Amino acid sequence: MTGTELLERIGYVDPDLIQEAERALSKKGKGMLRRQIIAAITAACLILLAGVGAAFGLLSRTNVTAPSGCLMIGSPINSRSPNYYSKVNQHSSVKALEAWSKNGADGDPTIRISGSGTLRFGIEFVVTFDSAIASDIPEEERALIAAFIGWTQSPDYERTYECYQQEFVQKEVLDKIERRGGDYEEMLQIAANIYETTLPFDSTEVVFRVMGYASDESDSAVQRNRSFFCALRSRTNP
Amino acid sequence: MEDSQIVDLYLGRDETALTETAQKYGSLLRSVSRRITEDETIAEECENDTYLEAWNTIPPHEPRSYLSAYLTRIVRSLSINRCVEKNRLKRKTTLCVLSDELEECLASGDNVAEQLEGKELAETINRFLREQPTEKRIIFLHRYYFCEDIRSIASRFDTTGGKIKLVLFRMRKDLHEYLKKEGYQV
Repeated sequence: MTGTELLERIGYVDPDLIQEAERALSKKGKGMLRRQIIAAITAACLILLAGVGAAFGLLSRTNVTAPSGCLMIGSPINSRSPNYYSKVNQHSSVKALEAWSKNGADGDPTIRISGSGTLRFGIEFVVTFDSAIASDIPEEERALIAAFIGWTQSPDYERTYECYQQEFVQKEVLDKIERRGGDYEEMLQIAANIYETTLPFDSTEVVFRVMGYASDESDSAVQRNRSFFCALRSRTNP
Repeated sequence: MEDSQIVDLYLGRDETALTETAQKYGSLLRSVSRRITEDETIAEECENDTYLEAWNTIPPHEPRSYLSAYLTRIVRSLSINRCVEKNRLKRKTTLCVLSDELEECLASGDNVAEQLEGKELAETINRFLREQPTEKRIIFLHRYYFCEDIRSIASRFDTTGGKIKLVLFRMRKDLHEYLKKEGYQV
């Protein structure tokens, strides 16, 4: 006898046993259907919640304002998470920026930390991230932003930071930017100098600003992360 | 319509019995056949042959209380036969898998066929199944009677495929032992 024949013989088991299995089949089928409906409703609710959450996240992200004519990006030195920009609202530099914008900022250059690009200043960074809200940022600015995000996201961040310090920023500049709460205009000038002397961009309309460490000691996140800021003056709002 | 009424239609040689049967059990019969043959066209043919077989066998049979079992038995038998008749279909995955699984119950080179008439073997399987816990029995029949795949059974029983496989493996082993215990050399 073969397995196939045995399979056939199983067809001759008592009808009441088959009926029992069939009842279970329809009963369990209903249970499964119920579970599927519940799962579908739960999934729909989660998607809705995620959508609302994303909308709030986007709003809060895009509503943070920087001083007039500036786009700001930043990254905590200790942040190595490859997807930390999904947590951008918890980002210490954004918190610091919020604080900064409250202290006299005007205008509305919205923070736009999206786009992709490559910038070479000793090290090449290639970063691609959500470009949905970056379409109105000039390409070279996006490249610069992406480069800095890429840089600060790099696993070799500290090494590249050292590189950056050694290769592109003079000691006296670093001394100044490490002084917490430095003068904004002075910082801007320093940044402009850094930009003009080190970055391969042939545009004086974009100003690169290095602020150094956190300006708000009371913000534990900022303290913890020792934020590093970069500000880019808008091409259209110098 | 109640099964008993449908059987009455068959007994009265009323052709609406066929449409009523198709309406009530058509999808079940087709799905059982489809699982075995893995061919929609052949499944439809087997379904239609099942109606014809029911028409020809009722009377003398009067499956008032087990019409669905009666019909599914016919359709699975027809489907398996179709597969066996055609080598092409015999190699269908479901049938091969199910056959291979059940081979374990028979061991190698056994001569159960000579020892057991079909009816006797069915009765032995009946006794074996009746001794099993209800859930295990149902799982066994879902797999080897309704020819459901493991994933579907697991889903129905809200458990994992691994657990279902384990239950079936143990049942096959138990069936093998049971046949031996019943005095059949397997």
